Amino acid sequence: MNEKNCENRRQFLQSGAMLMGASWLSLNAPAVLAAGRVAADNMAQAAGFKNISPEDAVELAAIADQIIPADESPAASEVGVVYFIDAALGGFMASGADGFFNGLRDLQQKVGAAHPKRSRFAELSGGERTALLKTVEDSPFFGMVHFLTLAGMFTLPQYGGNRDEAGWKLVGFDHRHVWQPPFGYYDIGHHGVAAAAARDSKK
Amino acid sequence: MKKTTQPNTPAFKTREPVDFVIIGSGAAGGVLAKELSTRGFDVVVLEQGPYRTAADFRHDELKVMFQNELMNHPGWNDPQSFRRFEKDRAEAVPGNTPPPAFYARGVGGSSVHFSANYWRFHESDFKERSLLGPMRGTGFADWPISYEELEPYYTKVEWECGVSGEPGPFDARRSRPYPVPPLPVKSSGVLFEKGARAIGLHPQPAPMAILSRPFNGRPACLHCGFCMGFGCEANAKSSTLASMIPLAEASGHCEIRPLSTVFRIETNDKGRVSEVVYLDKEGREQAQKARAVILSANGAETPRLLFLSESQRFPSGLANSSGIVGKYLMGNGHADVQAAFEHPLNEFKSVQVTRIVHDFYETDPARGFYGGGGMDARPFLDSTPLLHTLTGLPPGKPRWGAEFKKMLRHYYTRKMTILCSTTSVPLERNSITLDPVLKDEKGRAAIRMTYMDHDDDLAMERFLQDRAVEILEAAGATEVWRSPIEGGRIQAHLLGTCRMGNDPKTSVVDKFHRTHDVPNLFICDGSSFVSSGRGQPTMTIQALAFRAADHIAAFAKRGEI
Repeated sequence: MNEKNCENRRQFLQSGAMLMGASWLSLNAPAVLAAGRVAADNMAQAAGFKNISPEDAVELAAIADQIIPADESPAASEVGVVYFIDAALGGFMASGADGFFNGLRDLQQKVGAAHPKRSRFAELSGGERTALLKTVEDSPFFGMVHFLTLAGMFTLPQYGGNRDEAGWKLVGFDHRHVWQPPFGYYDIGHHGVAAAAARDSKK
Repeated sequence: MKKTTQPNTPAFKTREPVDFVIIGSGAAGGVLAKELSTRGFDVVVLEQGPYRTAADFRHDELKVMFQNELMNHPGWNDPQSFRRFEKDRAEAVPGNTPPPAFYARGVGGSSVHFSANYWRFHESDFKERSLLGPMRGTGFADWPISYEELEPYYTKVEWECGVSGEPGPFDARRSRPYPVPPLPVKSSGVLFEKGARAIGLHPQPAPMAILSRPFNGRPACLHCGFCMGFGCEANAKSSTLASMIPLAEASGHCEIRPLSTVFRIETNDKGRVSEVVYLDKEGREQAQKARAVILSANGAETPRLLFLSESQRFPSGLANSSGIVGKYLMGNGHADVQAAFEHPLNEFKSVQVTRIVHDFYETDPARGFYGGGGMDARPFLDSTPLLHTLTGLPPGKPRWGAEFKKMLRHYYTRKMTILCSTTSVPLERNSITLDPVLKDEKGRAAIRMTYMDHDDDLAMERFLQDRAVEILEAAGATEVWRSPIEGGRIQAHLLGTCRMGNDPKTSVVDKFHRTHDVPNLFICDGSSFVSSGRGQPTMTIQALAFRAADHIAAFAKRGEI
């Protein structure tokens, strides 16, 4: 949870409390905010990887950046996706970690088979990386990296990826706890009565 | 994990019989607990999931949507198996992946994570067999009750649980207006309405069990968007956790026991239910004595428990002299059409559905097949970002690389879906049974689902999908694509497996939800359904529960249990 997210949560808590005056909000607000601070501190330390060697981290960054490359916005590895994968391999993906690393070794063997003097994916040129991944895009290993890369891009920043909500900014998602109409382009002008009702309920 | 804030929650002794043990605290169990405890009956509710409250619910897509946090059996692996036909071998599905029978575990049950579409049934739903004639090779039948008998209880659901809405042109008769107006229309609703009118249909505001205004001491929806699959952090979604359970606990007559997994209902030598055996939150075996038991565990867990409770006296499972416990499972057909538009809709905001179309609700013999259905506009696969990037992009396009990234930038805010929901023909071959091999970690036989839709169900899905394409094109979509219709998929609507009827040979419960075989065992949940409705069953599950509570309370007062 980064600063903005905490801010949204705080806004939510305040506006929610205003709307309902319910006791659970005041009971739980301190714990929620404390959890957000711990997560933010961990992020700031940018600790080393726990489940991935530095060499494999370079490889995974190269693969993840083929899935979400840099253009006018950052590539996957630039927003913490490898940190997300590292945490996943020690957490919800732990039981699949051996298969995951075996898959990475298989890919590196393919690098050597196609380019005799090289043994690492990251040693390939951009075009070579794309060409090689196209040959394995139906493999379970690529499926795992694909899922983990997208999960790292688009889930809560507290899991190590999606730094500065870069993934959410990419797709246009804005994480808030309160929205009001109009919600999108096409419902503008359709909320005369509803908007008045919302104003009334706040009084 | 016990979160109740009620000062007067009782702690009943297991060895002294309470008036009722209710198994399950979901859409039906929560209503029954409130209705019976507030009339002074002592009630113990056994819930296999934890007692979460609104403060526990987070916008955590990874945990909720991809690790099934609200659905896993806490503490142990409880797998299920699935096959399409009886001749197939059922494949095991591990407990941490989306199970074939898809339901939430926790106080409030699936009413916590549902999308809250609250369509009443129509008059015809209760008597279609009489209106249309028989369907060979099926369990097509009338209900033993009519819409008129259930109408006051639909009204109760709307006013006591809290439903937002406005009457539509095809609705059944109602005795009272909705308590709060419809939720504000979303861009998907505006476009759906525009397209539907353009092809001559009659869209209407969606009735939703989510509050549009503060009501009954609960707040209005904050439009945060984390609705489908998530618990409501504001208590605006009218789950039984938010609406009924607090009233039950405040009565001083209701004890909720979370993390209590029932594995057997015991009967005595008179053939009556005597106690319910379960593992408590520490994994210790307990047995709660009761004067009567109400099974509201859902259309999959309810038949499972009846099978697990077999005995010498009830060799094919408790209350199963008819042999039809677990049979006639109905899931409702669901088909989607997705579309992209020029400008942002931002469907990640607010509730799932704000407009529906019921023009095709009734069966029309001119279509050439049985069935009816409804359509609605919603974000569906575009609700949350990861779900969208994995499932919401147009088919046949790259799934990685520069072009993929361009698509990510374009589609998320510009998409919507029309979801088509349909009838399911009741078929004996579609069932919940015990898997002969697969067991959960505590040794209980696993749920085995056998399910393949009837051809008419698939035909109705195709018919509505065609209309949805027409609507989206008329609304000005830049792209429209449909998901394949294949049938035999996982089911979130678990209906019909202990069907209601007057004849003990062809039904499991009578019209008052009392089992034909055991006088002090009642069943009330989706399993009581005789027909499937048009795809949004929870409203009717809750109306049945309010009605059942009236009758069960009357029986208890008259000493007829």
